[in-house]
Amino acid sequence: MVAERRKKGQRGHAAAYMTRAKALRKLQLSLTDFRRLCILKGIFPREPRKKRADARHTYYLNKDIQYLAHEPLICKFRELHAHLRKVKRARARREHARAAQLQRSAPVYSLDHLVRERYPTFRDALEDLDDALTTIHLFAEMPQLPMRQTNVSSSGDGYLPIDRQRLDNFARLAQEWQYFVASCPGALRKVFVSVRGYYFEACVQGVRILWAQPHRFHQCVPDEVDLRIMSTFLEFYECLLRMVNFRLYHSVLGTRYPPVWNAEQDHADGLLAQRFRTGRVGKDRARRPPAATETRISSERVAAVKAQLPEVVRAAVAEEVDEERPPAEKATVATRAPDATAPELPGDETTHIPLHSNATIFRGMTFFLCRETPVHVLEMVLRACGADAVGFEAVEARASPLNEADARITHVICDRPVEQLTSRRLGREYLQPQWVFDCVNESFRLPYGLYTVGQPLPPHLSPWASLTDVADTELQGEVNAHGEYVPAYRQYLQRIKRGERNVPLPPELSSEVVQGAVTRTETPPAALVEADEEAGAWAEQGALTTDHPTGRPRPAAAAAAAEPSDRQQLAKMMLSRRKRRLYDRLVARQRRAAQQATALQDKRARLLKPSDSDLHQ
Amino acid sequence: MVTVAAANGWEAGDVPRTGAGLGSVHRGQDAESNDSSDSEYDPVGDVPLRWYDGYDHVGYDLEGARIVRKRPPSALERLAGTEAADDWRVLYDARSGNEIRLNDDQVALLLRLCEGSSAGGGGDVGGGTEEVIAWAPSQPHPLDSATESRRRFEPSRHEARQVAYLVRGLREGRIRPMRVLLREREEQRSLRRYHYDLWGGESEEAAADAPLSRAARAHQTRRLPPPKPLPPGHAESYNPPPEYLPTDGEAEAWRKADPEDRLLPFLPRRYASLRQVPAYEHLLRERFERCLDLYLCPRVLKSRERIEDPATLLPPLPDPHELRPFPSADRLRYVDAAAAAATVPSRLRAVAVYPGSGQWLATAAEDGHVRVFDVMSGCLLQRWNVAEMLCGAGYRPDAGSGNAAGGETAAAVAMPVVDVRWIPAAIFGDETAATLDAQSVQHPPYLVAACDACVVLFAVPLPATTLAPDSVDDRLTHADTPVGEAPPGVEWQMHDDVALGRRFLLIRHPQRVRRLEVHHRGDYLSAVVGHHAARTTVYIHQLSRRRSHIPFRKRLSTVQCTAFHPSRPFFFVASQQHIRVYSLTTQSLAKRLLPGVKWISSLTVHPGGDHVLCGSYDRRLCWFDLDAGERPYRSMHNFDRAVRAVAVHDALPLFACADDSGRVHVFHGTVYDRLDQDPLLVPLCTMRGHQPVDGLGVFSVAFHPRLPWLFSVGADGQCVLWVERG
Repeated sequence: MVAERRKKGQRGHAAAYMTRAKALRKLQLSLTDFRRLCILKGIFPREPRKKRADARHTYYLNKDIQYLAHEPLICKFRELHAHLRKVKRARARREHARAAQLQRSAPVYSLDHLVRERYPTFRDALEDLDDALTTIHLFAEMPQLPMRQTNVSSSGDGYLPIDRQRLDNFARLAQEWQYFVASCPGALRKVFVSVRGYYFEACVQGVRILWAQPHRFHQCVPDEVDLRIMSTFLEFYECLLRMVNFRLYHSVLGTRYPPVWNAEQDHADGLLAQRFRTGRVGKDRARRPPAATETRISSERVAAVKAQLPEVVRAAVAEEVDEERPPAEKATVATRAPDATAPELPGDETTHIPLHSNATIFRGMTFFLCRETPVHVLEMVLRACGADAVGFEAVEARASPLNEADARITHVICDRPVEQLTSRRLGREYLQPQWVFDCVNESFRLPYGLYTVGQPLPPHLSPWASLTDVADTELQGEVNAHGEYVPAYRQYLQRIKRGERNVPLPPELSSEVVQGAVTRTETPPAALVEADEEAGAWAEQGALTTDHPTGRPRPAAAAAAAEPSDRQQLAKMMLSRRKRRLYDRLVARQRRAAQQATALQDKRARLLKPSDSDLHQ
Repeated sequence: MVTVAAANGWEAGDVPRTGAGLGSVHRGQDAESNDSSDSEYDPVGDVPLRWYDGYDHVGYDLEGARIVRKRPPSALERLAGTEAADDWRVLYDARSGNEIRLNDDQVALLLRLCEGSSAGGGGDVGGGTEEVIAWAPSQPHPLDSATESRRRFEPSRHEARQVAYLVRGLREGRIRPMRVLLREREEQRSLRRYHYDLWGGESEEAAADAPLSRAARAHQTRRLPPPKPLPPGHAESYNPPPEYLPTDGEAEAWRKADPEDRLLPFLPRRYASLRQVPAYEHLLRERFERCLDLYLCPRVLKSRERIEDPATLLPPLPDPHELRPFPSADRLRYVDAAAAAATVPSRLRAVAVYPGSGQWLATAAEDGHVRVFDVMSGCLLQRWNVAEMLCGAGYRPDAGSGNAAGGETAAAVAMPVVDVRWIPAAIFGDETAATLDAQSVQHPPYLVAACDACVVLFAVPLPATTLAPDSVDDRLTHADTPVGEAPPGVEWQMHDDVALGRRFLLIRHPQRVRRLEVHHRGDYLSAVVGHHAARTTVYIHQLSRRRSHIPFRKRLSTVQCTAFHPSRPFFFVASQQHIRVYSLTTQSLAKRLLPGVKWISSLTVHPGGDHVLCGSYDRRLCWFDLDAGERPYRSMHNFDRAVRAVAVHDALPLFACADDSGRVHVFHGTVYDRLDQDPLLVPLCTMRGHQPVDGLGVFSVAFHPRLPWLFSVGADGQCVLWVERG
């Protein structure tokens, strides 16, 4: 008996994969449909250890393809193709009535079962929400797309066109999400204004979600962007986000979904709060009272928030349930409480105490947004962080819940030159929008002095880069524990957050501070000190000098710390080859980071030099 | 015609009245109708009006002059001049240029026509037959006289079937009316289909129990979530710190770089306020690329440890300070003043320390000298020009040798001494090897040196020895008679050097001697001989009986070096990539070691006899445990250049190696008696003292037999003593 000969690639690892061409043959699908199916089902190519046919081919897992083969969507695709053929024929015969009727009776498929399969638990869905949110937000801001791009279905491949109605849906979904974040105190963790747009980080049920939203401008569609692919992605994301929103509204907010759309405010550039009238879920569904919802949301920071969770917030939520009141009145009710119970205005000494909770940063403050600010973003951020009420400058006065003349307004966010700020009132802070974002990132109400209107702004730092621990009092010069460069302004903020008094400003900022800028009491003492004195004091702190008595290492020394010692070099001999390479890679990475940090420090020192000489002249 | 009209449901009685009614509107075709009195004649004639399209006139009068077209009043004129409520009744007749006002009957007629009902009104259906005849006077009878078919008067069976089919389908729900179907489709298409709690009840546990198909659950195990994009850094801010803004040079470099190589797709820029930030043009493209990555990019799971501090990878080794003593600093350099005066110092190829006492040190130089130094004082005791000695003995370099220079005297040819070893004096006398120490030395020791194709053995008259050199030479003479046969080409020769006044023993080989190794008792010598590294022969000489033989019947190619086992009858032969261990008693291969290196350079056996070290030109040092297997117990890698020499200390747990970068590495190596405990190998220090010359660093290292001292010689002509740092 001769053993049966086994052909190569029929067993083991190599046999677990198939090329894309083979998958197409097996599934009897066109490449277009296969791609759509892959996008919707979340199937992606794999990288086998050993490629059987050709290194250039794309490989899929056999099991994945088998899984695709049982998808009922494939039948729907076939129906859709048959239907498109009928439409096409009717059009060719100029039977327009029949074509129109056919179009209305086109086969419909839904994607909810795919969401269920891809995300068996709600947490899985939240973890994969970043891309969905970013894409939906991008298209929510999109104006009408050009015809040649939107009319994708006419080619007969069955893609949904991205028409006005769908774009409106995206906008609506995005606003629903923003409304959720805004009405979930403490959920919003970080905001960053980039050249690309706004980045947000929220923590929903313990999952960190990071999404981006573009600046409000016309987006042009480059030729290389295939909107049919985007359309398929959007189809799935729309479904996913809708179902996630449903659950969030029901289980977290305890309100009805979809929220009632306020038709009058639909097209006015109004506030989120006015566009929705959320209703409470019927008694059988609402097992959790709103107050309990609030405590659950803040359970991650129980100790910090619980004590401070104001009746205001609860009152606001309770009031929102009431559908009868107009929005303006709701705001009035919400703000009444702090006026009565918290007479102290921002600006007294208590504001320096770090609260370390985003839910209460703007507690007791009433904001008015000027029309040049990004109202849609600011409102969400302010409300998410506990602002009492937000008004905005509108052409029709009744669109805004707060009139500019309203006496309750404590803070005005505006972004215009001082000379164009015609009606300034005493008792109000006129701040630039960056103040709001920086406050959220630091979880701390920052002093106003640097952010008042007309001031050159301090740098806006990314909340995800060069992180430092507040408790970390021994910041290693300008480098944090991970060897990352920490900009001077972050160090300054850290020291303020630690409660240090008389912290000198970084020299590059102090030279820019307008002398004697009239602020109330929030201005840190340092801002009023002479600029050159500050420069000296900063230098004394050793950030730029080399020989500091407290023994902070120099930047160069910090860089050298990344180099392995002689003993480590010797011990490296005993490593296996794999570990030695890993070790070398890690050391090289550390060295690179140290070099980058050193380069930034050098650059800053070079930038500071002429200004220092100017100061001493 | 009548039949057709009847079949269509038209009533013949309507027709004349219709004609009368329309006459007022289309007067051109019905000239005798005189309903409207304002037009006497038609100036255009019976021609289509479109003939005059684009002209200002609509015909000619009797004189042939053009009749000018009258313009209808424009909408604006009509609006301006409107006073009557029934102005909508006025029509304009282009042919006559007159306005026609519709009366009530005409309006009613038009309305009926618009509704699609009969022109004459619904009231008088089934009028008289006279009109039919009047309408078609030439055809008083039907066109064919065929009798009507019976089927015309019976209900259609086909239709009955159709109706039955539809009724059955409707009852069964198989057929739905289009209205219902469309409503259903609209409902399906509406977004409300997604408005339910997909993830089940309140708790995640309940959701986990919810039915999910087996295939879907299996799919979950294959799930690889896509990596998330990095969050933005400071440089992407709309208002970054000034140190993140590019300088002119950096901006220029960014512009010149390929888009793939850029760290950021845009140049960081500072905007003084938020309202000045413009749109970002690549936004849609970047999102599109991310989407492409999500469904087109192959994913693979790579398990990667997150190691913040690379030092955690390093093995926990004891502190070198706990393992003292070990050599760590250079103390002394052994210098021959005559050689040092030379402009180019000759390389030192080998170093040997006198075994037992370690009082003396011999070095082999490429200029043909063997020098003996006092270890403690560093002074030169003896200097032998071996090349000259060979010339005096009548030796001529072999023609095949690389040093051959035909016709020249051998003295003029540089014959490097490649190896030098001490031979304990006891082998020729009656002392045993055990009594070899400084106090008991009576006989001067012997040195054996390899130079070209010869091995030279001579006594070294040192001050501490008691016997005169002459008597020593006599001892060499006594053991004069060869017992066995020498292999071809090998020749033993006793030579009296007249110039030196002494005699020495010469063993000639057919080819150049490359390596020399001495058995620990001193009676046996092994020599690796061959002009080329690829064709070598191993010879073993027995000094006491003046016997030579080739132990291997087959020629072993590329033998790098050999070694004797310190206590048992084993012989180690290192070829280019393997180490073979031969048993001398059974004369067979006992073991083969595979270091896994490309080119072995040196070989040493641990004094315990169970461990072997080998260095290699591909920068490795391997430690073998002979009991453990054929693979190295541990390989040490971190050398910059080829490892050329290895040495083990006889008494202390130390070993050392040297590489071509001129560095000497010292290790701690404890070997335990317990079989289940692995040797402890610890790198102790790296010492720099030799300058590499032409890519060659240290040639040889040797330990002091008792003290933690190390000697090294190198291509820079230096001989260095390394001692413990004070």
